[in-house]
Amino acid sequence: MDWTFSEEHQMFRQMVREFVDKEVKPVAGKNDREGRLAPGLVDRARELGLFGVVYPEEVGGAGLGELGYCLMMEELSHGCNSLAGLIGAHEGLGGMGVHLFANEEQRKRYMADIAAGRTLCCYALSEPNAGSDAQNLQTTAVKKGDRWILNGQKVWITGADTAGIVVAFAANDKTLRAHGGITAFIVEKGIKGLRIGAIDDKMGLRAMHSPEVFFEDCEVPERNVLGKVGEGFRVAMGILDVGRVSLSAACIGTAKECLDRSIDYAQKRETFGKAIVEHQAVQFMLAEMATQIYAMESLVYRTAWMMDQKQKASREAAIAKYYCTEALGGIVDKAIQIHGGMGYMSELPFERFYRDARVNRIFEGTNEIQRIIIAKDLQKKGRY
Amino acid sequence: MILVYVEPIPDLNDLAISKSQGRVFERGKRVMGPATEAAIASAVRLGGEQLGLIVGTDDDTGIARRGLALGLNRVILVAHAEAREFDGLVRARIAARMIRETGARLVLIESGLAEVAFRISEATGLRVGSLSSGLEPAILRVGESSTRPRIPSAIDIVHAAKKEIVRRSADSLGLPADDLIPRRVVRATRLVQP
Repeated sequence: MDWTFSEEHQMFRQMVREFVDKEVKPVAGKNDREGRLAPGLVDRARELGLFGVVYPEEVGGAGLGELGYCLMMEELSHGCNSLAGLIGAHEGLGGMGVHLFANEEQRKRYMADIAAGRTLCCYALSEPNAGSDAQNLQTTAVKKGDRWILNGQKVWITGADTAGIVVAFAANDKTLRAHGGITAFIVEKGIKGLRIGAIDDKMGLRAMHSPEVFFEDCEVPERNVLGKVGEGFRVAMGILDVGRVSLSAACIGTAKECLDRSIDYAQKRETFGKAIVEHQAVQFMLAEMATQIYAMESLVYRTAWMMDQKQKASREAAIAKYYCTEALGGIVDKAIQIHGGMGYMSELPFERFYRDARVNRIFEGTNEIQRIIIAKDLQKKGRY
Repeated sequence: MILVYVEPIPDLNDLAISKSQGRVFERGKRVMGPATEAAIASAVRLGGEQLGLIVGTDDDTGIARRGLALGLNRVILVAHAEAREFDGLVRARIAARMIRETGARLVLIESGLAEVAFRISEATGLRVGSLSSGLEPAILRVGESSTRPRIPSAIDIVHAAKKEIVRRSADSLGLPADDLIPRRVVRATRLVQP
């Protein structure tokens, strides 16, 4: 068993860390306050190839696999979760759908631009009445000649405002639900009947936008069906397995940033005549944070490795997502506690991390859904 | 051809400090310094063929890959088990040998390595300067702020991983065995606090 990352992966991690330290951290607070990513930041990420890390070299990606993708998400989340989220929505969700399920002709048509980040993608599954109950889609897809006509509304679609491709899911037969009733589509920006809504205000991840998407007699060519007609639910869930692991990796980055800053502060801040790191109450908090981070790392990189080996890892992805997102909430909370009043102030990044972290337990499948996935797998196998 | 002399340096982010022994210990592998990265960036801007020369140990392949990712066309790693103990004179002798062997006309070296630069000059006859009006044979000392090194992209890193690192043993360069023995003597003196 070899737990070391390859030299290539280590160099890649170092590169992303350098980018984050020099170019992301200095603007992360401003991004949050202004509700937008600093001008040029997405272009820099594109230049560095960060939108195509997970895709194979044949299509123009870096071919660094799920491991490389998770390393990137971890490093980005030391600085700005909104930037990480935008890249994740493209690479791990929308673009991943095209990568995993497109036919040969579609791959040729789209993947080079997706891997280079020239065309950004988003993933449009959630609806006002179909969040956790993702089978209950109300958006319809009706075949008319060589086109599908889509009608409906999607909500909280991260990156929809900047995406050139919306990977959308619609009901071709509501009665069949997940069993043949949902189809995935590649919907190109600019197509008739596709409308992106206003940017909603939200608690965290404020520089990453998640607007509504409306399909109003939107005409999608037959050749843009992603996967097979009726198999959209399988497509949607297959994509989410990948997204859940990378989201978990992002939790590690923020958690480590919190711990490192907390150690540094605890060694410098003095109360009752000694550094607060000498107080057992603080030591226990640091120890608990480190323990959880070690567990998070172990879960994420083991699961990412399984995915790179083409092993099925749906349950493992759900476990990682459930554990890491819950753990992060506690870790940020402890970082604030260790920093006392300073931790509550916007001068330090913890209150931003605190707001950013909360949604992790909701999106890409709520943590309640993750537990259902885990339990169903246990039931199915009848053992661990 | 431009040769960039690359000196592996301790990773300042990965040092252990022993207060009781009054010493700093290296924990990890060595890294490439920022001024050397600037030298590589300068070489890339000048164009043509850029060769990196590392005098180090077999563990320094990460530095070689970093150089390739930053734009060097190829890298020669002259390895020796005791390379971390080499002084400027030994390093310069090895560098001079490789400069003659490769036919490099311009040598870029980070400005902090004055001893190595001048000893290479002594051994090769190349002049040392910090400005160049053209590509005349010379050794140029490059400061950290001379050219801003770019961050290599993911694709650069992947391509660098596929390039061959030419490995040479310091013992196989044909230098007299005595030339690989450091002349520098370090005397440690412990000062007692008054």
